[in-house]
Amino acid sequence: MTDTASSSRSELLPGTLDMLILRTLVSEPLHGYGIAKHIEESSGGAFHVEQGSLYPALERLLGEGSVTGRWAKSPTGRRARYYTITASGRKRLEAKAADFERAVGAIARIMSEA
Amino acid sequence: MSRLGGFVHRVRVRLRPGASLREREEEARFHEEMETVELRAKASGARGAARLDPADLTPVRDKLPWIRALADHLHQDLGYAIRGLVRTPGFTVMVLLTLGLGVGANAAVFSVLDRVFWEAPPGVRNPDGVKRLYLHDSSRTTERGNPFVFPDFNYPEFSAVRDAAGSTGRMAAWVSSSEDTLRDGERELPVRTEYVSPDYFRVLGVHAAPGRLFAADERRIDVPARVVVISHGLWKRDFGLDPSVLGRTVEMDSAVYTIVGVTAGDFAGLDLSRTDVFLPLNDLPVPNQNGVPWYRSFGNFLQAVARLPAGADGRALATRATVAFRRMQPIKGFGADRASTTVLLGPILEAQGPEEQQPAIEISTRAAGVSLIVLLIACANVAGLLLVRASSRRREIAVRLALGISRARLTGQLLTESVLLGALSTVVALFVGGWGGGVLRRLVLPGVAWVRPGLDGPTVAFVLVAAVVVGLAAGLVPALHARRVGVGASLGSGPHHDASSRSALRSTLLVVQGALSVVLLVGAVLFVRSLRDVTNVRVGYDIDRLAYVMLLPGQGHPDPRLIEGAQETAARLRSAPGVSGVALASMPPMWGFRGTAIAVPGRDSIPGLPGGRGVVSNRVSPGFFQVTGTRILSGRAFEAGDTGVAVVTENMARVLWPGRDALGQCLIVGPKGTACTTVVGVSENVHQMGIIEDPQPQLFLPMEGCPGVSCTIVLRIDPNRWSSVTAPVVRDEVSRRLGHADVRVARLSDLLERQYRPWQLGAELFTAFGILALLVTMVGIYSVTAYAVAQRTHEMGVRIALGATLHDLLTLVVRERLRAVALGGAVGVALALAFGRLVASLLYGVTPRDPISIAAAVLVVIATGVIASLVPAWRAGHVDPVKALSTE
Repeated sequence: MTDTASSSRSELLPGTLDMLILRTLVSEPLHGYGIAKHIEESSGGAFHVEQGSLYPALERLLGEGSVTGRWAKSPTGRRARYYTITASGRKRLEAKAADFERAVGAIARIMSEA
Repeated sequence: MSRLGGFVHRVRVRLRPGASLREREEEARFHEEMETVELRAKASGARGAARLDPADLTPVRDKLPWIRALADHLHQDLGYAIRGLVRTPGFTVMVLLTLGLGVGANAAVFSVLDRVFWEAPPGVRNPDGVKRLYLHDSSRTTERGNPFVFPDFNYPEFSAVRDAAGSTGRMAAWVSSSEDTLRDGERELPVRTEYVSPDYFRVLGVHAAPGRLFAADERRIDVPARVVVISHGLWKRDFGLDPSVLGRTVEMDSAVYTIVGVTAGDFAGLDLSRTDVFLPLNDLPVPNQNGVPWYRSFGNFLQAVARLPAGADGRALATRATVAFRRMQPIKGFGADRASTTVLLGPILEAQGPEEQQPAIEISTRAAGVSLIVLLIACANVAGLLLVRASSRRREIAVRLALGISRARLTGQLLTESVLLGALSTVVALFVGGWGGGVLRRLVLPGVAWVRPGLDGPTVAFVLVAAVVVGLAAGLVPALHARRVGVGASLGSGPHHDASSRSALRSTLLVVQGALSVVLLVGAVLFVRSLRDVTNVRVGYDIDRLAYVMLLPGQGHPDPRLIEGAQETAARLRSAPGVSGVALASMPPMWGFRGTAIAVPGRDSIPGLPGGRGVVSNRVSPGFFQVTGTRILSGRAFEAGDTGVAVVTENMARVLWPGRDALGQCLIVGPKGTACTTVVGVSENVHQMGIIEDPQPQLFLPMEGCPGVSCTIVLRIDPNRWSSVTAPVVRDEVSRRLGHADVRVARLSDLLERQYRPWQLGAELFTAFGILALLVTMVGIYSVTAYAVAQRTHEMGVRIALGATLHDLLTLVVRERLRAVALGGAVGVALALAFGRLVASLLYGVTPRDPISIAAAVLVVIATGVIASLVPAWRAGHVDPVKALSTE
């Protein structure tokens, strides 16, 4: 996370963080750090999720019932909160993903009108 | 559920806000700590080692059913292992090749041993209840000093034993399979035939499908039955499973047979070679000897088996059979000595029986030991490679531990990787095993027509199990080692602080490889030297320079045309290219002999000669000794026109006239009253049959031309021109003049090839496996040295900067490896000395403790060690000090 690296980082599009978190949790329950790490890794380092936006987003998702949180002992003996996607979370993810596809498609069309 | 979850959360937040705040703080702390761990890992300069794998972030999920968790883990571990292997293709290929070669070599040996030693002949019902019969003559031993046990009965013996057995066991006999030609209309099919007694199929529990097996009308041994049963294999291969084959007439050995049935299943006889066609014993085409049919005389060519009643151990049968056997009239000079002979029972598998095994079979058991050693070396090598790999991944492992992966899980992942490697190596192993098995079968048992050539089920199963087990075994050491990685130490320290236990472990693996390589190479050198010594044994003839045109004795009277043809051929061949001499002999030297009764005037008996049977003799033409290279020690060889003279071998001279000059002595050859035959020459001793034997005293008598039915043209040839130039000319000449006769053209060295085979086989097997072991060891030493050198780039840079020369650095690096290899050599010598007796009986002229062989093997292994470590050392010597020092 050197300075040169952060300059090439993109800002997340507004509203996509929830979707990315839900997408990440589809494959397996993770703790907050793991979620951030996964988003960063799978984007090839393009997105960096700051704690300041990650945990509020998780709170939001907990609040709407899209994820559940559970405290569990991590293998090193540390306690960490693991988030699991719920059935309604999956539905929401599908809806958000569809919206996103439409939006991206629209943007792409505009951009390609040279 | 999710609604409820959201509700619960909201309620909790509302009711106990303090608790939620504490939780948030704890969550934030955890997040920061994880980031710190990662930052530190990256900062300590791991070149890609700290790359995080998604599997690192796997949480504990105790809510999942355990089976799903397990499947999940396995899926992740496999993915992790595959990614890891793809990332390092060089390592992966090296391990796959090493394991594949090691396991494949064993599969090749297994595929031979399995059929020879363990797998009962296919198609036999309850094979444990079938016993082979043997005769044990306690008054004699074999040439190699083993009990004199043989499986050959003549028909009168077999009938007597069968009739005496009664309820203690039902017996059958057969004549082992041989090649023949089956004529089906226009077609000529090469087949293997076997002559069997009528009860054969019933005793073995083989059924017919379709048709019938031999029945009551085939019981009269003196009445030809002219019916055959074919194997299911032949029916499928050459008759396309055509049901109309029943009742069809075919021709074999100039007789017409009717096919009456097909055996069910895979049954192809009891011998190693498969049988395609079964004929009744009645039809055995053996001519009468002096008017006596074979089944009333002494043709000992029947093998016998017995089916024991359920629960019987066969002792009752053996007792009755022995009594019946001893009651029989002895046939003088032939078969077993009745009084000292016992009937023994052995397992259905010939190789498990009490008979002395042919050396090839014995050697194949040594091959198992040898290939196992190769596998051990491969295993040690892969363990070394995995260790090296684990070392270069220490930081990665430390990070993963810091991230919360459990040590058990980590071990599991590493083991998954090595098991995966093992599983992948089966591809290589199956290829090597299939190919090597074929080569080995041809090499060890060249005459055998295998029932199922190539890879069979048991061998494939063997490969699968062996590869995975070996992969697991090789992975165990590094995996257990990885458990001991300390999080803090590994993350904090630089690459040159190599754990000393780890490097000790790698050295130990090198010692093991070096030691085992030495053992194999000692074996190789011993067999190569045996082979050389055997080849150099003086047998009295120049083996390499002799070829024969043998007129095989036919039935009936001498054929004047044949004798004339032979003499003409001999004369013509004198000018054939590559032929430097031609002689005639009544028997081909070392390929047959006959006895002649002799007497010495004034002596009643001749000590040292087997009584009653005369001495070994051969009638030869003038020039014979020159052609064969047999040395005349005193006196002269035969000259044209010689009669009434003889040449005796040196040992014969010593037996007949001890302490006196044999030249000029009188011998009576033939019946009493015959005139003196004068000894005119003494030749060196000559062997009669074997390369390794005590030569019998032998008598040479002169002859002109060919004496009759049995005649051999002996050619002195140039061994380098034989196959390309001389042999075609000789064959052409023979077919032109002797085309109508039964003639065989062969080089003596080819005729004796079988005798050299044990040593040749030993030399080939040990050399092949030895080279394989050496290659694998070389790879092992190279990779370990290369790794160690890479780890010490920094140190090397410092040394060069301080003025160390290339020579200094080479010495430094090579000396370290050499210590391990030399220690390995010492251990290897100890092992070779300890296990030498396992091959002692198979050697010739050298003892397994031969110091020169052992020293040679150790030298080769040490030289290999030097070469393998010199390359990486050379690279270390050319390190750019500036670069090396700036890598930290």
